[in-house]
Amino acid sequence: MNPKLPDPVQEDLRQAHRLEWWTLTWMSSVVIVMWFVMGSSQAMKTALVEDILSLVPAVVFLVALRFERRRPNAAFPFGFDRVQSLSSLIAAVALCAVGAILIFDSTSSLLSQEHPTMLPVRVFGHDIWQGWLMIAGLVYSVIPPMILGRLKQPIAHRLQDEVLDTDAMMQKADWMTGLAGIIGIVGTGFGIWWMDAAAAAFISLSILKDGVTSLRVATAELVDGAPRRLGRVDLAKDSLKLHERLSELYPGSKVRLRATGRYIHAEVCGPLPHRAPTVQEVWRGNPERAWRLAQISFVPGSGSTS
Amino acid sequence: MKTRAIMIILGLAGCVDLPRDPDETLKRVRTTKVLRTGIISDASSVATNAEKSFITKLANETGSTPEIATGPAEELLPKIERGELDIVVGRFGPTTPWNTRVTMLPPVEELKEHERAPRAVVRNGENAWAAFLHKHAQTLTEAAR
Repeated sequence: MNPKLPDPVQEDLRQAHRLEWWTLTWMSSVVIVMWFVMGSSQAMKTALVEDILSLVPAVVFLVALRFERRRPNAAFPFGFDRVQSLSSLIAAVALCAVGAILIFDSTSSLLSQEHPTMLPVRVFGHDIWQGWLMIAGLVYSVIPPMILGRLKQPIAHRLQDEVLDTDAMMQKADWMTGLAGIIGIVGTGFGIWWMDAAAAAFISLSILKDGVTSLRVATAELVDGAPRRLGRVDLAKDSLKLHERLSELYPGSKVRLRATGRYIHAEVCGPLPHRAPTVQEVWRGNPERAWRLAQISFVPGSGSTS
Repeated sequence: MKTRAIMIILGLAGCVDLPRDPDETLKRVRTTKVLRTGIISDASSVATNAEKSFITKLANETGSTPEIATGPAEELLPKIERGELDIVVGRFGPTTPWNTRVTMLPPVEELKEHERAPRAVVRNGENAWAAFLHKHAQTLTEAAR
């Protein structure tokens, strides 16, 4: 693990690493179950595509963590902290794709007034309505993401990890889609043909909203935007306090903050100080999160407070 | 565990009377005692005894009398889509373009590349009616052999 990080944070990283492997295992089993019960249902095929896409954040998290552990080298003198920002962009695109596919599929089903047909299938010598099998498959697909998503959320907040947070949102999207699928199939069973598409359309809006927010946060990070709150587009309180403190300590200097992955980099442009400040002197946020301040650079210049 | 899950599903399936039809086709056939039937009869498909006896059997099962219309697929299948007919029987191949617009029983995907076989055709989404026919549709293909 990253030696810069305190022990509790390193333990959270280990836990997140374990959870992501659990995610890949469980969600792969969900994909297999969905494959067997989907039949010719277009809605179930869409659910399968979403389940495959939902593996993306977990995979990119594990890849990013692997890179984050690497030390800077001649080719990458600033290290690999920003791999996390890139990964959060990939995860956000995957979440947006899930929302967009779902909204397109459900809207086109509603507009074309597609009446889903579910025929009986033979199971152990009994003819059973395919809808029941689909519901059983969907119930199975709802449980793992519901548990895993809830476990990941607090860890993502402690680690200030956008990828893990987007993954938790993806898991929320997974179980909400599954639930919409169940409502839709029960509705179809009761002869309400539009319920499947309507439930999916309703939920797709929430998924797309989460995806777009993640995309905005990830983009802000990649273009050196000021640090954002986790999963939100507004600025992080810790970083606002840091900006205020640095402006107080170095009047007449221009203070700029940016996020690189989970870390904050500060730049003070103005007259050079006689000594570098300690983290305790500048960090006014939660002391347990002081590890986020990775670097303060002093750049000679005329400066002006911003 | 697997057996228990299957028993729960079968139990639920027994408790709740699902699926139902959006357009109540099965209920209407039973209450009006009229089975609005189309038999495809054109150059490529001529009604056989197997198809006619399948309709008679279906009418007996639902306590209805068949009201038969004959004609080409292009004339009868749009009537299925609009809900003007309850069932159409005729011969279809696995690549028929009608497969997405209506429901074929048994599914045409089971047929070989150039095979054409008798199929019962119903309106999409009429799941109770389709499930009812599904039980009998196999006899249509068996009788045709």
